[in-house]
Amino acid sequence: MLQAFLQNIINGLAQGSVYALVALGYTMVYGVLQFINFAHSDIFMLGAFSGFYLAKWLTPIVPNPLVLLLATILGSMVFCVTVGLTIERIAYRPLRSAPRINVLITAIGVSLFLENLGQIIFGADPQVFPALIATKSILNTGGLVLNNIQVLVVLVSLVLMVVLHWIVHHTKLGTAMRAVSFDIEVANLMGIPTDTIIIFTFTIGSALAGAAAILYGLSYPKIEPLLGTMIGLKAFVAAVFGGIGNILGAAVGGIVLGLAESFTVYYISSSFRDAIAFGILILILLFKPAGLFGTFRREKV
Amino acid sequence: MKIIQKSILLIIALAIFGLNYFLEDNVDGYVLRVIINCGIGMILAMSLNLINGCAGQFSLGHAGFMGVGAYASALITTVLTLSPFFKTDLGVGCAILTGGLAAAVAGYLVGLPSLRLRGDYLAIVTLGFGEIIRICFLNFEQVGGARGLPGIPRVANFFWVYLWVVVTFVALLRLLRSSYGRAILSVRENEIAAESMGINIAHYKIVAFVISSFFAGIAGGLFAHFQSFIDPNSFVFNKSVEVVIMVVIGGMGSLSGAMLGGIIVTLLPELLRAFDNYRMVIFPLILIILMLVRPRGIFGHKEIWELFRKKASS
Amino acid sequence: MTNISSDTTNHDFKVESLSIAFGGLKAVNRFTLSLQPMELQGLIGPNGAGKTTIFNLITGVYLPDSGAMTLNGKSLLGFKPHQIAKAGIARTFQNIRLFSEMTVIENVMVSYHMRVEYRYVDVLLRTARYYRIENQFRERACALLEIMGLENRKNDKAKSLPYGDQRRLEIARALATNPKVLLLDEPAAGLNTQEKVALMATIAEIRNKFKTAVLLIEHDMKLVMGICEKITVLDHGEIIASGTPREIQNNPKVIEAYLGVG
Repeated sequence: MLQAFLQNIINGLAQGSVYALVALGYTMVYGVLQFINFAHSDIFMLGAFSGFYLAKWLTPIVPNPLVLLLATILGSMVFCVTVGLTIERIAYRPLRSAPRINVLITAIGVSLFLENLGQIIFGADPQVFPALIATKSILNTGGLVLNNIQVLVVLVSLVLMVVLHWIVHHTKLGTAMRAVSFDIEVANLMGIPTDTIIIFTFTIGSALAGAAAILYGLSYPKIEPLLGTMIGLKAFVAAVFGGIGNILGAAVGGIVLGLAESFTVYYISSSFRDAIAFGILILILLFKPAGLFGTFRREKV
Repeated sequence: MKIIQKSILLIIALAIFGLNYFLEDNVDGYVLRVIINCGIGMILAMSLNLINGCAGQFSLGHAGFMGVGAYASALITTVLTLSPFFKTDLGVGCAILTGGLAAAVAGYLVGLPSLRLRGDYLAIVTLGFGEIIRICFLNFEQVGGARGLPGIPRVANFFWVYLWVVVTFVALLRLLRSSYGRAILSVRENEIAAESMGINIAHYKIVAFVISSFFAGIAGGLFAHFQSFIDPNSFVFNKSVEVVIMVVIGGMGSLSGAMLGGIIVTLLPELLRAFDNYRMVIFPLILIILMLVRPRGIFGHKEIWELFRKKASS
Repeated sequence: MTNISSDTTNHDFKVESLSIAFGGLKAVNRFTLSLQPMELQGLIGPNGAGKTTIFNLITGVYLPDSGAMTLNGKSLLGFKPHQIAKAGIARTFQNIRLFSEMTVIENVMVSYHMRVEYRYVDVLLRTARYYRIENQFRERACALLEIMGLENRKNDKAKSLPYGDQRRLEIARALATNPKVLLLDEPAAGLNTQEKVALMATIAEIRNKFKTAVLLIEHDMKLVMGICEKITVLDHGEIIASGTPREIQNNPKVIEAYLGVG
């Protein structure tokens, strides 16, 4: 009983950290531009594939697994940032003053484009993500299993989130970002270069998605071009759960969702794994629409 | 005026009936399938237009309502072997109607959160509902689960589908040209002003969801009884997106625009068949470009005939 | 209609001690007002005095923290905005809120909806009743637009109207709800002096034609002096003076509020 409970917590934490990293990308873009960047999930997918090819190429060259891992993560992050910024420049920036619905539809269009392009380039069949480091169990007592990958996933996520927190709260750029997400027009009037801040936001969000993709590939080594859809939706749910636009909220939301899923699979049925996220979403929006840490702005009459 | 309207409708119904036999004898099976799919697309687009275009809400779960209609009607005609009556044209018609009603009930339940949420939030909740509905089908072994549900009587032909296209069009147009329609539009235009003029905005948001889902359910029922096979994959998120694209292309709030959008979105993948795999890449590209160059859709809020009228008068 | 009793203070519309605070800030404090049938009153005060907040409280947009509100002796407290409208209180908005993509006549016809007598069946089948009531609505709307001088623009989109006409359409739309009390929120804002004077005359005329009481928010004190029977002055959410235009004009508190304390 207790073992099962603890095992679920371990699994949930590992899965939740990936959700949290992806959720951060959603929440930051939403905070600054007030729209759901549907393409974020596909940036995650592209991160996984870039890591896949990069790792294949690097494995014979780099003997040290730790260096290999770091190189793959960094490479994937750089690739995701490039894609994210390209999307922002080509598809989103021209719509800066357009109605929100148009931006939303464009985002959906970009997402479909990347998914379908991915199916052509990578093929629709799942590929096996290379095991960059061998799985070793750290703990294995009485049915309780904890392996090095799980620890790694949680640790890397934690480090990234701490760095993000530091950037947002202790640097000039971070302060400007918070100002823009508070009120983009006023921030603009105050001389904050909003376009630069938006680029900065997309950079961080995409980089986190890239890192998350590698961590995901290590834990669930099957990747395919539609991989981003479900993870993206769940990460978005996590962001809404924590209060969209709120960075701490996204992190907490991701972990909670990971735990909830893990428990649902164990205690109810694995086939409801995907439904639980949406169930949580609907409940939170009905009873606390601003999310756990969010504040709701009422329209002025 | 009234008599003219009624006779026009009768003539159209007869024409569809006649055309049905003509097409079945003279057009090849593939083309007829595409034509019928266009009809189903038009019903879906017109119905979603009521929520997304007229009431100013944003639903991303239309495939879910379509699925409810498809499964509910197929349940009656296939799974529950109630009576041989439900294998006949009329019986299937009743079943499809029931499917529409079931979808309307689902629409009521999904409409409830729309009272508290707006914009992106509502989009994501309706998306969630759509997915939950699909996951329920997936786990409901009585209707085939993931394997799908085969052997549904193939009754919905050109006549039935296009009869419903006309019914949907006339019903929605009449609704919009009435006091109820103005109430729905006023919600889109300005919620605060609308409620200050005595419009119960919560009520009309629900009304939009219920009516819209009803027709989506009808489309689902027709789809099921045209394909003769349904599975949860027919009602995925991408299907909802497809319907949104239909509405957006035509112009949010334009009924005739939605019809055109339904045709374009159904036809385009067929026309791009020559590009094989690339068509699914070209399609979203067209959407992105459309948003950049013609953000209000092809017709905006206007109906097609209004465009011509404007030109004639000026 | 009203219960005529010996109690002479039983006015048509009464607001008593209405208060609301936003995050500790008292936006409106103990606001009291009574409006007799067909009375024209002004509500004036400097920017941020809480005038619009009072309208929002009366029309149910905000729920007051305390206080009472009755129309014909019936409490309206806790009513939703659409219920308030149905009870007979209509309003306009300081920042124009028209149904901009709808035509001028449709804007007015939305207000008839709460008393529509046909049902969905009549709409779907276009029954005789549908045609009769639609035509009736159309005629009434035309008549109303004629009074407001908008008749020739009735089929244009509301957003295409010039600014002054948009303000008039706001009033027409509110009047179409057939109100017993009409709340006008700075209807003259943004108009030139000539237009302002004309609008004030229209407002006085409306009151007689439509037999409605009017509560008029205005920033400019001089403008309301001529037409209002009574004026209430608000500053920092509190009533600082109330009385006839003459009394208000000479009230030192009012002068202070408007000119500032040196």
